Amino acid sequence: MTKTLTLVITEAPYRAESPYTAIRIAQEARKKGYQVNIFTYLDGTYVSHHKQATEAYPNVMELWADTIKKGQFNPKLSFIACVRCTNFRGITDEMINGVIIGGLYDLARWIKESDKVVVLT
Amino acid sequence: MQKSLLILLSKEPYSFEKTSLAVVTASKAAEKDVDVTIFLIEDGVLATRPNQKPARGANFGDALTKLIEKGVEVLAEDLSLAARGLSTDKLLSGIRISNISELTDLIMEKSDRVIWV
Repeated sequence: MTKTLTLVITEAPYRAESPYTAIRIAQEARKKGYQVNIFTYLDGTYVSHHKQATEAYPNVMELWADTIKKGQFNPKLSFIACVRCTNFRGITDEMINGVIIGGLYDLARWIKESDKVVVLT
Repeated sequence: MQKSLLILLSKEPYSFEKTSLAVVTASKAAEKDVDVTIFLIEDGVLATRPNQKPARGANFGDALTKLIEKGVEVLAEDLSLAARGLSTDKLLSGIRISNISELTDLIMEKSDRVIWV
């Protein structure tokens, strides 16, 4: 049976490196045939905010958009942003395609269903 | 059966208390016969430098060396080292270079518990 990895992103892009490291781990895990769940929480919800225009750094939004698009096919990648966190930040209606607005109940379900859960700091 | 613990450390060694938390957790787990791996990634790889001489407080380089002597495996990610221009021939003795592929295997297949401090 396909194993599942859940990654929880809590930090904002361009301040912490972990939103970018999460992309690298997610892509490698899919390459090895694992299903991947991404849950963004707190400032982590900024990673999938639309219209990011970076110059000096790799654009985290574009990298996630590409990873989410490829994740439609097996092995799947699902991406949920915490609704309370996006509401607080006023960005709920400004997410890139493929992001599901969800909540901690979804994270609880993923924790129960996943083989491994890693919370990045 | 022996249990295994993977500890990821992604922050520079002398700015956060979480560094000592990682060391103490690794040390105590090893004493309880847990198979412990510390994986240094992002700014965590700054801890691979030899001859660390903090003005005061715990010496993280010495702490890693002690853990390695206790049988803890300490790995450092190749791209994080390269991004910071850190030469790979001058690592603290006993640290092994690793990569995202091995990290994924460690997380998914080889560790009972994974904590990113």
